[in-house]
Amino acid sequence: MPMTRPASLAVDLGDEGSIAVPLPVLGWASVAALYAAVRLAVALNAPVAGAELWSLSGAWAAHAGADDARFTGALAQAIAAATFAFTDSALPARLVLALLGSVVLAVAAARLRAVVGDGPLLVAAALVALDPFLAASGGTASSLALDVPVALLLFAVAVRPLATAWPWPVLAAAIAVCGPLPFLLALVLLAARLAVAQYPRPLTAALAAVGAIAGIAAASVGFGFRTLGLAVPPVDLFAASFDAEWSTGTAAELALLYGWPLLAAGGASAGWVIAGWARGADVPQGWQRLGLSWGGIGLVWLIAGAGSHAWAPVPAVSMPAALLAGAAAPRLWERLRSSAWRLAAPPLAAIAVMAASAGLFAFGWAFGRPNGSALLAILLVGGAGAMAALLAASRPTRPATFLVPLAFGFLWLVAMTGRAASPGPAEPVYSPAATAQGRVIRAAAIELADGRGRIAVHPDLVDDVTWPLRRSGTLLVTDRPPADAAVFLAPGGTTAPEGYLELEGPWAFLRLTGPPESVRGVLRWLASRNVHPSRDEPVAMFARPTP
Amino acid sequence: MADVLAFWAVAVGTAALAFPIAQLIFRRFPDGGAGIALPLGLMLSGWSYFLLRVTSLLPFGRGGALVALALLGLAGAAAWGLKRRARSDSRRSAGAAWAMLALFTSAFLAYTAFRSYVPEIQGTEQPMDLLYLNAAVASPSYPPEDPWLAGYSASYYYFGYLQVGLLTQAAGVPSSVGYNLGLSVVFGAVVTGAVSVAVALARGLRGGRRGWTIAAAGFAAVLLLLFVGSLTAPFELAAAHGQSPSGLFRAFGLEWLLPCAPGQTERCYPDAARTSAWYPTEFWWWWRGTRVIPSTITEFPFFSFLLGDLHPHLMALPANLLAVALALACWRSRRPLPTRGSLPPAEGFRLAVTAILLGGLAFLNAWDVITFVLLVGAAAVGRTLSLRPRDVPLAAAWFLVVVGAGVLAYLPWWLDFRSQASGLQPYVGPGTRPAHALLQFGPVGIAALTGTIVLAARGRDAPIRGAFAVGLAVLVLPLAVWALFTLVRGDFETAIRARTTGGFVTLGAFAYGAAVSAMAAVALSRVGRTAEAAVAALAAGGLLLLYGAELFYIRDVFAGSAPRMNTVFKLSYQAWLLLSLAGAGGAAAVLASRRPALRLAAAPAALLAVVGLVYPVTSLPNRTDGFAGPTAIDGLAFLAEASPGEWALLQAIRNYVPPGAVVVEATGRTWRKGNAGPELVSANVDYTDAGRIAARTGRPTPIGWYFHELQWRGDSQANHRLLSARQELVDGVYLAPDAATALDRLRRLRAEYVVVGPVERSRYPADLMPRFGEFLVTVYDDGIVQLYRLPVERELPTS
Repeated sequence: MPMTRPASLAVDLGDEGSIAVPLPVLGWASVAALYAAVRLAVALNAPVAGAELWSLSGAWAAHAGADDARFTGALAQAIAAATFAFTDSALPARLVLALLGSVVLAVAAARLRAVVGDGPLLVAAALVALDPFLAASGGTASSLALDVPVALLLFAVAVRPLATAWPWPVLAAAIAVCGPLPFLLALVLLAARLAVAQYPRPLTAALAAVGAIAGIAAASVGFGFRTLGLAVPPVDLFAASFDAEWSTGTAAELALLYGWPLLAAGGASAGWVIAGWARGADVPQGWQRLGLSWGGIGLVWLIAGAGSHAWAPVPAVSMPAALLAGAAAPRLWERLRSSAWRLAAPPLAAIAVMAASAGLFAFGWAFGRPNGSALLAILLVGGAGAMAALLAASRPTRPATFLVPLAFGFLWLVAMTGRAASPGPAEPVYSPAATAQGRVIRAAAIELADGRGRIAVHPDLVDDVTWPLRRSGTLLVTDRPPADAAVFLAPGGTTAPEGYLELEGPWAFLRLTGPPESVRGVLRWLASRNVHPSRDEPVAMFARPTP
Repeated sequence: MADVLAFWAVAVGTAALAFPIAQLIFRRFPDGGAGIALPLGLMLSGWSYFLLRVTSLLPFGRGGALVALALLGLAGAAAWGLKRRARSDSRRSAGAAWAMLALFTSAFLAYTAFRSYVPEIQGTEQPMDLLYLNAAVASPSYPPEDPWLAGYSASYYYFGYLQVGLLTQAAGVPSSVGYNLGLSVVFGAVVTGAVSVAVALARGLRGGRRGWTIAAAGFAAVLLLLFVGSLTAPFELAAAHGQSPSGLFRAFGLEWLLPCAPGQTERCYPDAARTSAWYPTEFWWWWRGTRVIPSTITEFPFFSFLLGDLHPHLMALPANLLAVALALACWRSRRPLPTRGSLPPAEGFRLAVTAILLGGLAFLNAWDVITFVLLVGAAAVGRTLSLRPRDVPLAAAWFLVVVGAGVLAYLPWWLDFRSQASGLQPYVGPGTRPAHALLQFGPVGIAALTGTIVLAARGRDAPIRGAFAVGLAVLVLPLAVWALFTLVRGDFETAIRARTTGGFVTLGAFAYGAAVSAMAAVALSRVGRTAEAAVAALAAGGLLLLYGAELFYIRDVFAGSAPRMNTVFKLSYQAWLLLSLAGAGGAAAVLASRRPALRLAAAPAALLAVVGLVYPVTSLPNRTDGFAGPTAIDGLAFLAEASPGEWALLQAIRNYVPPGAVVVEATGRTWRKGNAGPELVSANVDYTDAGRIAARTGRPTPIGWYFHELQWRGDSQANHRLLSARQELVDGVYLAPDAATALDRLRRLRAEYVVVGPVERSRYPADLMPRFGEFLVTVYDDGIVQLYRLPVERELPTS
């Protein structure tokens, strides 16, 4: 990128004159603030759910000395387990991981600036800050929390190689103890080098190997919490993303619901790059080609895992999509600027009015109100589409047409990020979620069992109780509670064992919220987060009455 | 349909990832190795998956399969970088690659369409095949546990199941769907592999020039290898319509197809006409086409695909074609093995891949390893001999290193594998009647021999001495060794008498055919006719296998009843492949020739091939009931209608029983209530519904098919004791007098679950069976089937 003096904003300091604040600095400060605000909101508001619930359950089990297949030896889980020494809340783990991830992201961004440029990188960073999946994974304490930052750092190092090989052990060790995303990116980058017969230098390869082995060794001993045998967390977590229940909706459903704007923007940008490349008119830069490869492997993962109950593959596509969209942003901006806005403004205003009206009618229809009408909404959308087509048909106003999907996508993105940062009681992206009632059940069970016997748990509930019943002593896992058990927790609908009475109540450890299943459902969900149906997994609590 | 598309996509993706590796090894092939990229990819990714699972670096489940494929991509990228002229190679073979993709897709869909009419995984050994597929997919630990002998590793050559399992997991389809689509993939891979090799041969015969005869060679290879069948079919067709001239049928040794004479009840038919359609409608009449030679099995690929047993010999076909291609590549190479000087990275990479491919042949089908490793070795060392004779010792040493590396690459499998084979023996029984040999091997054998003779004329200027010596050795040595063997054992005279005149005629035909082909191969190679020599060598190899199967056999558990059954089965299958390819090469030569005499000489071979097509044309509608029924691709979906209880039990197992948990089910032995307690009525368990849960789900059971376990682990006293003890314990669970006894037996079996379904109720008297619900946890009960679990009790620390 040519070095030019950045534009600046003059800030009047009154009698002391004024200072010029470079616009990129302002931009970075704004994006960083946005990023921090969203992540903090997620950390404070999001329920423990999905992959985080799975991961924290494994981490807690390792901390408590229990054998649990959900502990994979990943660094994020080890950090969470370490925080459990002085708290049983998920918040400290979230904050530590978010801070660590932010630092790594900042280092990666700093490295990328020289290659990508401030403008495109700022746009990409803003998209990263606003993407709901990147927000949810960055603000929670799942095993995947550090994936995106480490992957971006690896990408930055690949695009702008290190001057020395000595950081490689740390980077390789980080890849070995994170989730699947950095590992898959490492495979892609290695394949790209091998395909052009560019082999790593022996020292680099050796140092990277040492780091990877050290990382695997650390994971294999569970960072001191529990020895696992040979463990490779990225591979184990990649496999788990297909088999584990990390979300109630499928990856495809959730990706379409929450993340389509960024995926669409990335897809369009990738298409733009590839088309120019195929014509020979516009050979993409090296980092763009690597970004395409990264997006490609992420897309393969997403397609392969489209039907699985884990949205883990989505960030694997969102991150490169943000980079590619950021790269396309300057060109898009130039195109928009070249549009005849005086001519385009009235139709755009009409489109906005029609779209808003369509929305009103559609929401009314979704809620069964008298002023709602699906037909009118469709007609209005059709009208807006016709207006957009007219705009596109005319050369001077054609670029302005981009504003329509951009605006719609941006609004959707902001809305979804708002949901991720401040979720309602039933949010599909945070499902299955640990209920607040879980701790109530714990308190009640401890009180009932105090001095009278043990707490027994049915084998089918073992996985569900790990997180809510933390610090509850040693539980007895059994199909039939023995005589010395005072409390027995079982799946809802279980017949009371002999000598036990069921405590009435809608007890539940887990709340399941699936994505809306129809257009009407989507509209209702968009309009009001409080009306979306969810289902609690019922739990039966039995107590042995005191004689 | 989604499952079919997903499976196809994964197969094509695997081939695409392996294509750069194929281009590196098969650079001189017209298609750049595109037609054999799929078996290459499956061998390499299967090997990495196996080793990484054994070392616990890869986890159980779909993710592990995808990582193995990702590593294949990495290897493909490395190969791409190693090719010196990457871009030009890719452009040159791009068109051929697309053509192979179209061919594979067509073959895959065509076979899928056929199989959708008969998708059921039941009967013959299909439960066993599904068992091993599920073992490869569902076993939490590796090497996979034998689901029919809980606690023991699988002792079989299950690499083919592992490869199909890899595709099944990567595509995310159930194993009962992966079974059928695996057959389709194998079919497609055989089509493209045969075309790839045949086209390479034909192009070589034309001196590198293009022409329509090259495509014709591909067509001929597919026809001979995959569609031509036993010549008994026209006889079956005629007899079914009441046309069976006694003299003709007896001349061809098909007496059993004749109508019964008055008073005759065996080996004949009571009705003269026995079909209700234009094709024979008798149930599975085509089965007899592989049992023509008494006490043997002479399968051929069309039969195997028609039957649908996903067996190792079938799954190995693409890899065997790959081995032939490898041999051909070595034969045409300027440096097939390292000799003097340094070892460039590309060559090292190629050798490593070769080691993995050759080592995997035993893991795929132990019967094939010697034949195809020798074929590749002969090609590599023989080429070195023709180019630089003084480098032969070094080249041979390198080949041994490669073979050794191949064995080491699969060491975890070798450590668990127990073969039933117990030595090479001379065959002293009745020889094959010439008529039977003609019916079974006529089309491919005569096509190969005709092609060889046509091509031999191109070597007429070669010095005869060396070629004659080789031919004589091929002719005499096997017979001499056989004679010596029988003399030492003292049954030489018995052997001579038992073979009969007809047997000697057959023996002589195979021997002379092999000798003539070997002579031609040597002569042609000495005048630089490498492509012609390759065709002749393939013919020689095929006929030598048939010759050898007439003289020797591998002793196994069938030694008493049918000593040479498996030997003839496996060697004739290999021979079919080699002879088909040789026949295709010969067809290309004949079609390219402008001499009418040559074309006339090839007419009998062509006629036999056409007659051989009666088998597929008449057996297909029989197998599918005229393509009339409903279609499905899930091999177990038939249970929903045929046996709702078993279907419900299957779903319950899938939903509630974790992989690796031992499930107790009926042993297959039948009991009744006697005066003094339970009495054993029938001990026959193989080929029954014994072990059906383990077969359908991969969840291990203490004991499955008894006799098959003996075949896999050896017919020893220790194994008999082990298997019998398991049967006693399992039967003892269902016949236990009280809960404590049942629980004790379950704990000794390390079982976690017990099923009671229609099969158990048919095998054990209801009033002798314990009330499992009273002392076990009822996991599932719909009134027809019950699934019980042993009670759990353990502690769970939470702080």
